Amino acid sequence: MIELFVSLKIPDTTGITAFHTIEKMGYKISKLKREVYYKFEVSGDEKEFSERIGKVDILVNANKNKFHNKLEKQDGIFYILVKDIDDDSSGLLHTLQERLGLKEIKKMEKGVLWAIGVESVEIAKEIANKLLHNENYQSMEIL
Amino acid sequence: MRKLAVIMFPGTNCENETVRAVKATGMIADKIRWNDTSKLKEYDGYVIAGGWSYEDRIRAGVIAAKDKIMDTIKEEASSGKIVLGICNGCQVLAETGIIPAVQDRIEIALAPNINPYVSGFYCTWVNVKNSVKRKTAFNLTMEPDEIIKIPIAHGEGRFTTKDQNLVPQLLQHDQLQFRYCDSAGNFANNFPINPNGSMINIAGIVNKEGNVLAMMPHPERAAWQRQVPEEHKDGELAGPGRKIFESIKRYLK
Repeated sequence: MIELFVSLKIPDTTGITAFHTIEKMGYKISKLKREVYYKFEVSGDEKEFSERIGKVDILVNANKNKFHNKLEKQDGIFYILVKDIDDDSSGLLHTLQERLGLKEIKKMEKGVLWAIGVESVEIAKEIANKLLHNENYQSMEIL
Repeated sequence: MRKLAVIMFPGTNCENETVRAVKATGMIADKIRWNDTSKLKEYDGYVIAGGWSYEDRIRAGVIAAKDKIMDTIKEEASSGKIVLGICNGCQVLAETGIIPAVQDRIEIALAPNINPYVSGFYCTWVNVKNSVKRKTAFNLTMEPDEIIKIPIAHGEGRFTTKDQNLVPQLLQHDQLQFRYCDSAGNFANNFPINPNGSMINIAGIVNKEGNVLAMMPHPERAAWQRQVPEEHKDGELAGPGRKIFESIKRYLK
C-alpha cells in the first residue's frame, strides 16, 4: 500500500478560507493544512512505484504542488481524512492505468486530509462535523 | 410594493438575472451583499442567487452557510418570510439546515452529480413537476402536477442523505416541491430525465411551512419565453420560470 499526500507550494486559498471560517465559528486554531490524499494498492515493487507516482503530473504538478509519501504526525495537530462515499475514483484509476500506463495499480482511494491545530481531538471532530465534512455523502476519520 | 433582497456572497454570479426576474413581476428587488445586514429585516423575502459562493471552497455552499447573514435569514424565515435558494443558494440552504428542517440538524447534502456521460459540471434543460399536493409560497400560479421546462447548471446537485427515514418523512410532510420528470410527467429515475442522480428525482425541497424553497434549477433563466428552447414565438411573454416569482408576489399580497 502506497500513500501520496499532495499539497500546494502556492498559497492554499481553500485552506486559508477554512482557517478563517473556523476562527469565525469561535474556535481557537493554531494551524491548518490541507492535502489531497491518495492510497494505492499496487502489484510489483512498491518503492519504485512510490517514486514514479510522484512524477505523474495529473496528481502532482511540479509547478505548484509538492508531495510526500508518509504522514509524519506532529504533537497537537489532528489529522482528519474526508472521503466522498460514492467516489470510487474509477475515472482517475482508468486514466492512470490506461492512458498513463500505470497498470500495476490494482485499487486506489482519494480524499482530503486536513491537519488542524486545536486543543483536543473532540474539538477537531466537532469542527470536522460542522464544517469539513457533510456526513450525508462523505466519510470522516481521525488518522 | 413588496420587495425582495437578492443575496450575494463573494462568487455569486446570477444576481442580475435574478433581480430582473423579480422586477418583471412588479416587485422591487435589491442586491444585498453578504456583509451588509443593516437593512435586511426591511425586506419581505430573500432570494439567495446562484453562482460559486466562496469558490465552493471546502464544498459548495458551506462557507456561506456559516456567514452571519444566514443567521438573520434563518430568523426571518422562522417568522414566515419567503426564502428562495437557487442552485448555489440551494446548496447554502442545505448546509444551513433550513431545508428540509424535519429535524434540527443538517439532514441532506448536494453531492457531486452522478451522470453516466459527463463528470463534474453539467448544464442542460430539464422538466420538473410541481410535485406537492398543497399550496406553498412557490406554486400559487401552478396547477397540481404542472410540468415546467427549466435549465440546470451545476456540478454538485444530487440531493442525498444518509438518513433512511428522511425521504418517507419528506413525502409524508409533502415537501418535495419539484421533481425531475420526462415531458409526460413520469419520474423515471435515470439519465437524462434525472440529470444528476438525485434521490427520487428531487429538484427542489420546500419546508413544512411552505415559505422556504431550495431548488437546483434556475427559474430566473426561464423567466421569458425567448430564453426557453422551442418557445420563441413571442419572446417577451413570461417564461415558465417566472411562475415561481409570480407565486411569491401573490403569496406576499
